[in-house]
Amino acid sequence: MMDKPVLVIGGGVAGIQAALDLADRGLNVHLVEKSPSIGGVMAQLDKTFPTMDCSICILAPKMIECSRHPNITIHTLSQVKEVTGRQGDFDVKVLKEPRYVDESRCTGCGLCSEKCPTRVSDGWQKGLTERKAIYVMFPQAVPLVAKIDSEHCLYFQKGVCQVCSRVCPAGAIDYTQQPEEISLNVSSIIVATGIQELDPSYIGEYGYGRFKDVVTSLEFERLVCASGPTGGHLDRPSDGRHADRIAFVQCVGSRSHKNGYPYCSSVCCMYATKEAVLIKEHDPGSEVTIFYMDLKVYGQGFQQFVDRAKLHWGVEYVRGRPGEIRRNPITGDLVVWYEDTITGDVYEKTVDLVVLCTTLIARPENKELADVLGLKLDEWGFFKSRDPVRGHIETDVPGVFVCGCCHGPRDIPESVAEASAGAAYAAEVSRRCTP
Amino acid sequence: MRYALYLGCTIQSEQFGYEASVRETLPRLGVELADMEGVSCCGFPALNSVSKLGWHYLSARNLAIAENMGLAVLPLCNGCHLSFVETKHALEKDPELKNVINMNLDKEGLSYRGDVRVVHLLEALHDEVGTQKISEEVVKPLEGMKIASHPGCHAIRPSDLQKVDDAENPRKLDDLVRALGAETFDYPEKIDCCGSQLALTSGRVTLRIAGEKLQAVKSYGFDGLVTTCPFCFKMYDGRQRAIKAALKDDSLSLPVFYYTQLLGLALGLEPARLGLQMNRSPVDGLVKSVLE
Amino acid sequence: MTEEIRIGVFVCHCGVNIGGYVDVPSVVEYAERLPDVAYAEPNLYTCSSDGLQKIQEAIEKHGLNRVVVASCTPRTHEPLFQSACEEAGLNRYLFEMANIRDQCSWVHMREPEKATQKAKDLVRMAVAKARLLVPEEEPEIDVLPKGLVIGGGVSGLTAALSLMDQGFKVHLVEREGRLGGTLLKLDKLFPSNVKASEVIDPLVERVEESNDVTVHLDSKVSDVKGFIGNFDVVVDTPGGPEKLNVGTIIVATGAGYLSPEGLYGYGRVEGVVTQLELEQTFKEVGGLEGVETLVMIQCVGSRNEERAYCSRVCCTEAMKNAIRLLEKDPRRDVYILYRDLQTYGIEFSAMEFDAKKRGARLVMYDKDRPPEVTGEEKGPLVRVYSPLLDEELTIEADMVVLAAPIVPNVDNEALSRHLKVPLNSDGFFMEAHVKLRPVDFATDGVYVCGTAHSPKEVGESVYQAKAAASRAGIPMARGSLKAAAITSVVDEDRCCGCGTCIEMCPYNAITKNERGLAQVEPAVCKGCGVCGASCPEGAITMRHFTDEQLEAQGLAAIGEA
Repeated sequence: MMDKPVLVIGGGVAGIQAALDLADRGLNVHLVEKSPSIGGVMAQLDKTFPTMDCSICILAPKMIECSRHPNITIHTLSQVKEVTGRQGDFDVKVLKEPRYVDESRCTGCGLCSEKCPTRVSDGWQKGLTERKAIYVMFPQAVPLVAKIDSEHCLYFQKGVCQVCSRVCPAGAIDYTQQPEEISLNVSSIIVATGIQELDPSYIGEYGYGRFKDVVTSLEFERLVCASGPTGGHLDRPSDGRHADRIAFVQCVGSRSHKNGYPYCSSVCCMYATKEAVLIKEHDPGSEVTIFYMDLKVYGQGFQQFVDRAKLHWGVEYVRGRPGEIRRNPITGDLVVWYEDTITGDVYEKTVDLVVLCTTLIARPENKELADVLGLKLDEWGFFKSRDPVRGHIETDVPGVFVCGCCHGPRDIPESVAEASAGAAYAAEVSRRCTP
Repeated sequence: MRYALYLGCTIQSEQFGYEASVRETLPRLGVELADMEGVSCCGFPALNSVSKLGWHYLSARNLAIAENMGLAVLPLCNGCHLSFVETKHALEKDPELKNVINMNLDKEGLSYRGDVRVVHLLEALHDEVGTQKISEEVVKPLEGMKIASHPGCHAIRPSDLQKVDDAENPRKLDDLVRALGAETFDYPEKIDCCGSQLALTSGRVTLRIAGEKLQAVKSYGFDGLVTTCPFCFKMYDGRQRAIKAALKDDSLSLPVFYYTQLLGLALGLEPARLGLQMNRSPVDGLVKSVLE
Repeated sequence: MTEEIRIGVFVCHCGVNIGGYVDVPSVVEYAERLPDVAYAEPNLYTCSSDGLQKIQEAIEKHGLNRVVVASCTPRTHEPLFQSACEEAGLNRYLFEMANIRDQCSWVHMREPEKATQKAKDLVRMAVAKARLLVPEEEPEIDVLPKGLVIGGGVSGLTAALSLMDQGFKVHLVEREGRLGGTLLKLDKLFPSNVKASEVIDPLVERVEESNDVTVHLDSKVSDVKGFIGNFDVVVDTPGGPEKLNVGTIIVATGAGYLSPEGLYGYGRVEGVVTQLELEQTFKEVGGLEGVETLVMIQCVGSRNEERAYCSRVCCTEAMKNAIRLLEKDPRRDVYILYRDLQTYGIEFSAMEFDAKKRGARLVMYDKDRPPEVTGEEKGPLVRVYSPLLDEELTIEADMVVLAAPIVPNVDNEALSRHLKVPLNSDGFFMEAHVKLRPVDFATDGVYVCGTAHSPKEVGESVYQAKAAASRAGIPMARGSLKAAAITSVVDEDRCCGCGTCIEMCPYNAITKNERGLAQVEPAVCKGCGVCGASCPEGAITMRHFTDEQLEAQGLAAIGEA
């Protein structure tokens, strides 16, 4: 009697790891991903701390492995809409949105995007540049297949154009595609839907949204990434001038009962340090300051990484939350007002670019998925574990497990280990429930 | 549009230019102003620090008079506006206090209900008249002039109550300046306080705060500064000489206007009718270039 | 007898990625004219099902016995093409790839003529090597469905139970006389305040009752030989040495706790204890009588020159204790002297806030001006300067609790030698890759979890243990593994037994055989080539990257072959 497959919801690094662990041991996996490609947030990062590995370089091989693995079926543009049954026997309905491109024919050559006349703000590049109405999500996308954004496509909106179908050498464009419902029967479900960053526009004093050179950390990652809008040059979004003086503001929207979320997002002190080191590696003459509250160095290698950033690279760390960021209209400089809480004095620092490290918050999709799976959410919208000590990966629903950031912010090694843990649980369920 | 015009103390006692320019310009934009009988000080800025009851009583009394007139009240001063808004809020939250006040108001035959609308001049001009109408009425656009907007603290803070404009990024006064054909842009010190309220206790600090802002405004290339509050105006205009002395900066000189004065000029009115001869900052140059 | 070499060359356009910059037809033409090339063709997308079919048809039709694909990167596509060849009856190691995209068209977009020439050079090089390729076999190794777990604490027990629930037999080796590890000393665990006994006892019970887990108490691993699927382990037990034969090994040996002698009066001043000792007091006695003023000092013997790392759990542990003490008696004065609060995440942040709300006094101190503890008649006296207050506080404490760090287990050194796995600079076991392989060792078949790896709290240890069990379960579930054919080969006639290669090998794949000569275990060898490069006699060569092949490729590069 063949083991039933396992469902993994979410194709970020955690979902990918869980899928690979299960597939490698001989179980079949359905990997369901909402966007046109797997990869998640890790694919958007430039480098990872504390090893300074190129993020996509270490992730892409795993993504490819998923696509080539005979035991893994990837369903992109798909969401889980209904689940009934119990551990060992879940009936799942997945709704697949039409891509309007035939996955079996498209080779990802990119000619369609080149010729498409419609430009749209590119969400994957955090709105820093534009993409076309028909597009491949990013260069290393898996599957490397285009998608038509029907809300902006001239054909779908006005019945004209169709240039893409004319130029496609593989004849892969198919405007007639319909949403598809896929029914699955699985023994267990692993939820790995990830996380997102808070939009700090509401924090008026930091000027995000008003001042183009005040960016969030994910926007920064795209700016320094070679596959980003500036080809990896740290050029200011406002005037393209090279940013030599950069300030990082930690805990934006966090650790505050007044104006945001009270919790610590765990990884920001480290990724800000990583981003600071990145800047220094590119340009040792640059001035980088990190404004923090408590430096979170609890993980393996973290303290040493910060020590190196300080002593070897000369990154400045100031204990103090800036009060306000202002912009000089003539020079275009940004001015950060802050108190150095150790010396007790108030200063202003003139910089070219400010990076806001905002709270990592739950994805709004968690709510619907929680209803579908019968899971509880905590007050912040994250999935709740059965027990923080004994069942950190388990939920109250037997056979449904959570891993990665979907149940709270955490770093990549933790997400990966949790994903493997989820795979262990799923393997146990498989053994238990297979006659 | 008809409002009960609330002048408050400072305007009636010395800031004649403000009153004059308001009475000249608003009717031309279709706004009728009705005078209020028997009003008193609103309680700002001194009484609120000393007696909460006294302060809210005075403000509630003025609001009750407006309520009797059946009109929304239009305070011209940022401070009066905030005073009214805070009083409305306080009496809504504290029915006891409202009761006590009404018991006293009753002696004058007045009663405060709490349903009067409080409209700041900026709101009346920006939201109710509209920048489009204003642009249409402009006959002498302030072309080529760069005017810095100073909304003033009490128009934009505290953030929880009825705000005239956004606390971190106020835009309304800027939009109104542009409606006159003038140019304006954001500058770092825009929402900084003029320092008036400190004048009672730390005079020197006040002059320094106000002066540094004027110096900054000048450094960005602005030709003038505009405001809607008599306290702010008094500080920047009336005390500009003292500021120069305190900062030992003889070159510091910046024309300061009430918005309605610039509005009047743009509508083609005579400077004398707008009280411009009473501005103590060097406005003549700018006024001349508008008239030409 | 030498067979006639018949090489097929397939040059890919890769849409416009290559074809837009490299003159593919001329590269095909060039390839056709190379010696031993029997057939060459261009493809639009060699990797498409269409392209793969063409390769297979060509192998059949033209009797090809070597295949070269000039296209993108082997990293993503080599296995695909190798499988296609294999399906057409050609050994997958008779395939060679030339990267004319990442290493050519993509980086020379502005110089198409030069890019085309370079593509031709790369094809010539690939052909030169392909001529010398020989078929290789991938040895299959059996994997015993039996795991060894070293350590019987919460991590070891969790891992053992998971392996058991996955259907494998397990040997559990524990140094002490009973199972349970550190949790036996703890009272309640954060963030939920669950009793440690409620966590550990059920695990111990399940293991003890199970028939599939064989427990060896008072025992230590003394020798390990072999490789993934087939480890021979010697365990010293009270009844003498025992030989175990297992497929995988999980290290769950936990950690130690620093006894901070000489720091803050510990051992000298009465009333100065460690967090662990406080926890034990809570467990034995239930509370603290007569303690009105308590001072906790964080970062004792850690985050300094001697010991750089942060011990992760102490700040939250301090919050837990503060909440407990203040809940019992809100009039208490509880001070927490800290440098940076490590209360990360949602639940620990909430505990920090709870402690503050209950009146815990958090006093920040600077690393360069630490607190001082002296023993007075009434009890320990604590002096601390806080930069935030710009004031020195003097506190007459009833008790001082030191957050001493979790330190590597004293047995790590020896065990690392037996297992031939590395320790990091802090002395904990070092994983294969910090980000993507957090519970694997670089050595195949050995895994790590819990505080043996680094300081962590119990919930984290539990999921890491599950993760290690998942990883260990993979080869055991498969039952067998294919080792890559790219392994090193020792020419015994040349080998002089110097042992250089053995020392250099990062994977411990080489041993000395009974003749004293180097012997490579293909199952463990990763084909890195370090041995071949370091052999002073030139006795080692790599399969599929032989000296002859590489020489031919090099000469072809400079146009001499």
